[in-house]
Amino acid sequence: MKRTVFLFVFFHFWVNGVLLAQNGAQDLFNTKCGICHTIGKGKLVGPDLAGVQDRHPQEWLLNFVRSSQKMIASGDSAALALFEQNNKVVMPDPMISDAEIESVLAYILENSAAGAGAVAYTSIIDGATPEDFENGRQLFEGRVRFANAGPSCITCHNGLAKTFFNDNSFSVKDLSTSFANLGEQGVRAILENPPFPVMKQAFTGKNLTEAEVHDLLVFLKKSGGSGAQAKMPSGLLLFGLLGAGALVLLYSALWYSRKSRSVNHGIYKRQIKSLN
Amino acid sequence: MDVRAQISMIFHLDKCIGCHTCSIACKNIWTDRKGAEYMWWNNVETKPGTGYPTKWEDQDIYQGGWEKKNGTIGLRGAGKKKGLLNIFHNPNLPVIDDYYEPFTYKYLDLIESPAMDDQPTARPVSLITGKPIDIKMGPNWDDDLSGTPDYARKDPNLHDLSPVEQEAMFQLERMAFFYLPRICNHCLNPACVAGCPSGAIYKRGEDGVVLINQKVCRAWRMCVTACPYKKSYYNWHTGKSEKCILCYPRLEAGYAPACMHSCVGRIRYLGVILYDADRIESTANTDTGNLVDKQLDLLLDPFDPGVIEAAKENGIPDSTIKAAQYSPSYKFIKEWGLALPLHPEFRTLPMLFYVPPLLPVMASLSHQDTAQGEKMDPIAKFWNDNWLYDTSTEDLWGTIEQARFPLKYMANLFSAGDEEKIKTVLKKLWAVRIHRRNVTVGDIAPEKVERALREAGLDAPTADAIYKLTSLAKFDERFVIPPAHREQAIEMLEFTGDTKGSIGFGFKEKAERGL
Repeated sequence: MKRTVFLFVFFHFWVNGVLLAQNGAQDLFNTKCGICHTIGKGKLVGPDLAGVQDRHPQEWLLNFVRSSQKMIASGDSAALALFEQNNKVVMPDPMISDAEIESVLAYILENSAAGAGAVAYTSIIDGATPEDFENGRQLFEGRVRFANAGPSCITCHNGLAKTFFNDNSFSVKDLSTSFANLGEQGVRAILENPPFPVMKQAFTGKNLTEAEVHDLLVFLKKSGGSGAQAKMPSGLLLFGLLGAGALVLLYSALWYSRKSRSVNHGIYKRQIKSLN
Repeated sequence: MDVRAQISMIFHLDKCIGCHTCSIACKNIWTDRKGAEYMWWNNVETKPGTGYPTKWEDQDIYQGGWEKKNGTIGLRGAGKKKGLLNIFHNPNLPVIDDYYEPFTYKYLDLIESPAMDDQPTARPVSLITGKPIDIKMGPNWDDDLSGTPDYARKDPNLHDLSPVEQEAMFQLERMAFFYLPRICNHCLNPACVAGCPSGAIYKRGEDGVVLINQKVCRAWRMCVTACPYKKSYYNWHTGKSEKCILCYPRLEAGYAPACMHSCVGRIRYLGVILYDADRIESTANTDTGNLVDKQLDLLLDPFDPGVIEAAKENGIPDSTIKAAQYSPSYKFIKEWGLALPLHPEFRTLPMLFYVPPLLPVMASLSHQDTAQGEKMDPIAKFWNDNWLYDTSTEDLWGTIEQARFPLKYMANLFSAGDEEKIKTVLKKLWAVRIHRRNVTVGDIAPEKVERALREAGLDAPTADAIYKLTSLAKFDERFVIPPAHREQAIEMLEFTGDTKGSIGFGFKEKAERGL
C-alpha cells in the first residue's frame, strides 16, 4: 500500500513535472522570445532560431541570452556580428533563471526540426487608406486614446520627421527608421506583444486592438518612409560660414565706433612693455 | 514764470593753486569706502590735459550729454530707446582703467619688517583685488604735466585748433597750464536724471541738489553714461551709483560743502540763484551759439519785485530770497558777467560756473633773429641769446589777444567755442587789475585806466567790488547759504506734537519719598 501510494505520488509528480517543464519552456519561449524570434518560420525582429545550437556553442548561447548587451560590451565577435546584422536592435535581457534558459534552449532544439520551412508573411496594410494613416497619426500623437487605455506612443517616442540634425541611426526613442529596419512583421510583433521591459510594463493588460495596430503600422510605414538618411544640402556649410562672416562684418561696421577698450590702453601697453 | 531756487557755485580759476585739498576733504568724508575708492566726486585737473576719467570731455567716446537732432534734444547714449536697447550691456561705460585702479601701500610691512640688509618697502596693493599691482594710473596722473604727448596733446578741447596753433601751445618756452577743479554741476537739465531707467535720480526742489536715491537705484548705470561730466560713479560693492551730494547735510546745517570749506586758495563761492523753470526746455533746445546767453537769461534778478512775488507764490521762503540777493554767485554770473558754465554745449545747463583764468602773461622780445624767425610759423616765437624778457605791453589788451593759450581753447571749455565771450570776461578781469594797480601803486596813466574800465564795461566802484569779493572776501561773503527750513520739512512728514513732552529727565525706577 505504502509503495502504491509512493508510486502514485511519484508518478504524479514525475508526469506533472515533465509536462509542466515542457509547458513552461513553451510559455517562456512565447512570452520572452517569440515576439522577435521564430523557430523555423523566418526572421522577425531577430533571427530565426531554428538550428541555433548548430551555429553557436551551448555555453555561448547561455551567456548571450542571459545578457546580450554585456556580451556586446565585452567585445565578443560573434555577438557583435549578430548585433550588426540585426540593425543594432538591442535584445532585452529576459530576466529568467539559468535553468529556465536551458529549458528554453532545449525547447528550441526540440522544435528546430519540426518547425522547419519559413512561412511567408502576408502584409495586413496593403490596402491602407489615408484615413487609416490619419487615425494612426492621431493615435501616435495621443490625440485619440488607445481603446484599452495604453499610453500614447508620443509619451516616449519621437523623431518621425527625419532631418539631418537628428542623425541618431536608431535610438530607443526615435522611431523614424524603425519600419525600414524591422519591416512590417517586426514592428507588428512589437506592437502586439512588446518585448522591451518598460514598454511591456506599460502595456500589460492594455493591449492594442487589431485596428489600432493596423493604423499605427500604416502611419509608421508612411511617416518613417524608407528610413533613408536625409542628406545635408550641399553648400549649406559654405552658406553658414559665409553668413557668419557677413554677420561679423555687419556688426563690426555697425559698432565700429563702440568703445571696445580703455581710453588709456595705449599708455598702459607701453608701460607694460617697459616693465619687461 | 515758475521761479525756483538753485544752489549755484562759482570756481575762480585764477585763484586755484592745484593743491587738491578739496579732493582730499571730499574723499575723507564721502568716498573713503569699499567700492568707492576710485571715485573722486571732487577732482582737480590740469588743463590742457585729458582729465579724469581720461578724455571725459570726448563724447564720441563716452556718449554723454544731450545732442540736438531735428530741432529737439535727446540723450546721446542713454534715454528710453537707446537705454532699453543697451540696458544689459551698456557699451559706452568708462571702465576702471579709464578712471584708474585704486591702490594703497602695505605700510605695515615697513613697521613689522625684521632686521635686514636692505630697507623694507611698502608694496602697492590694489584696493579692488587686494593683490600687489604695478600702479599704472592715478586720478591726477597728469597733474602739472601739461605739454606731455600722452595727456596735454590729447586734450579733447584742442579739436578746433589748427596743428600750428597746437604746436605753438606746447613749445617749451610758451608752455602754460591752469587747474580745473570739478564737482557735480547740479545741472538744471541733468542728463543723469533723464537717463535713469529706475527714476532713482532727482533734483531736490528746495535747492536744486541732484541726488541718487540709493534705495531706488537698480545699477543700470545709465547715469554714468548720460552724465557728460562723468560725475556719476558706480559703486561695485554696493551695486548702486553715487555722485556728489553737494554735502547737503552740511548745507542744511549752514556749513559750506567740505571741498569749499577747505579750499586753500578760496576759489570757491556758493549762493542761491533764482531761475525760471518754465524756460529750461526752450533754453536747452536753443542753438549752440545762443546757449550761454540763454542759460544766463534763465537766472532771475532777485531784486525784481515781480520775481520776488512769483518766488513767494512758489513757496520759496523769504530767507532764501534774501540769500539770493546776497548771493556771490549772482554777482559773478549776472551782475559782473565774469563766470561761464563749463562745456555749455553738453546742454545740461550746469549750475557750476567758472571764472576763466587770466591767461599767463607773454613776454615780448627786444631783439629777434628775423632771418631765423621767418623760417618758422608766425605764431611760434624764436628765442635767441639777445632776448630781453619784457612782460609790459603798449597795447592795452595785447596780452589777451596774443595769449599763450589760443582764446579758442578757453572758448571750447567755457563758451561752446565763442571766443568773444571769453575775451569779454578776460578784459574785465584785466581792467580790474589795471584799476587796482592804479589805486595801490598809481604808476598807470589815469586815461589808460579809464579807457580800460570803459572798454571792459566796468566802472570804478564795480571794479572795487569785484576786487573785494575776489581777493578779500570772508567766509560769510563767499558762502551765502540759505536756511534749509528742515523744521518745515519734518512737519510735512510727521506731527512733532506727538513727541512733545517725551524728552528730558525721567526715572527708570519710580522715585519714592524717604528711605
